[in-house]
Amino acid sequence: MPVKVEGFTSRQWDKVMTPRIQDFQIKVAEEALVAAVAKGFDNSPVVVTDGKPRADYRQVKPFGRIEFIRRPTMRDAVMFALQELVKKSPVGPGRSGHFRDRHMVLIDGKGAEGDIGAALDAVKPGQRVQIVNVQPYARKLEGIAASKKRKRPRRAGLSKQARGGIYRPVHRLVVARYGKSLFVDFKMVKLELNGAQRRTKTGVISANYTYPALQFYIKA
Amino acid sequence: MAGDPVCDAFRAELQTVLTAASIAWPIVDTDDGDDTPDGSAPYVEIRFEGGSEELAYWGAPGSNLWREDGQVFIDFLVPLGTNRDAQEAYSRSVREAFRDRRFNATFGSDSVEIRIETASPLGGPQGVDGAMTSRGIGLGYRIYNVG
Repeated sequence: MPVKVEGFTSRQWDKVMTPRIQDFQIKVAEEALVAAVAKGFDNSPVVVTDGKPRADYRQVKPFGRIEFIRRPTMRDAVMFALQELVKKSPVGPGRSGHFRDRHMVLIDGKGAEGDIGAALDAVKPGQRVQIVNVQPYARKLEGIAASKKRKRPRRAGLSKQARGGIYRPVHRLVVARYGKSLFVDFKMVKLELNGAQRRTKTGVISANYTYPALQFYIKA
Repeated sequence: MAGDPVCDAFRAELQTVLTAASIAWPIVDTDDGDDTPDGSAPYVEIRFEGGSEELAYWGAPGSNLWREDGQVFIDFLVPLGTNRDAQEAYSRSVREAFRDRRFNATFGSDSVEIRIETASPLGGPQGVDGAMTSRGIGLGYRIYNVG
């Protein structure tokens, strides 16, 4: 008496259903992305297919997973850096204001006013975003790196609360976190002021001093 | 004395690119804490600003494959008010020379490929270094390390 099999075998099931399930998943993912982009989601996100970054989502396994992850933006990086700078800033008696409160965001050398987040979202490749601290002693808080050429030893930061400086450690953090999509640079900069100095409520900002700065650029 | 293999490879490659492009400006080693370098003549500066490394593939203990993504800045510095055109032209030609360039770093007896992933213009002039103004380019690179 022959054995009679009715219905699908598992191999037949795989052959017939696998492409259909994949097609359905791809279609759902594409529709979800289109809907999300219409609501303001990144229109060129990083795709993670079955846990593999930048793998083609059309190769998803049946019942696998397709993820669209928003690329980190200038806004994310600058806000993260600001937050870390504030956390690491030493706080003293504050007779001329606190260093902690004087981190400024500049876009192409001009102060970002109003909604900083929106201004950062509008930054294009080739533009320079800086976070600068304009407290007169900011440079001293940062210390100086050693130079063999000038036979100069390393000078630690002025504050016991931050011997390694403030901007340098935050720079390392930001590069490790956002270095794949942004160029991030630490520099001592001079400010482009009209005139030698500008007097503010909390002190004098001088064009002759240098100030620690983090500089951000979009990778083209 | 040899330094970090990746830094050495970049310095050597930059010198190769400058020579090929007939750029006679020297590569000068300064550091970020120094705001008053010698401002009498133009020069090129290369800076290594770090990066990140993550596991790319598991291997035997000590033989895992690690993917390093880093960034390097090349600045073209000129005394204020001089050499603007050369500065612009040189930064562009060096950037174009590094675009998608591949060269090798030497780790002991091994030679590992460095690949330039991005070569971006960073704009300028930036009046930041004493009496010098700079125009820079940014290079994003990738290298695979075993360890």
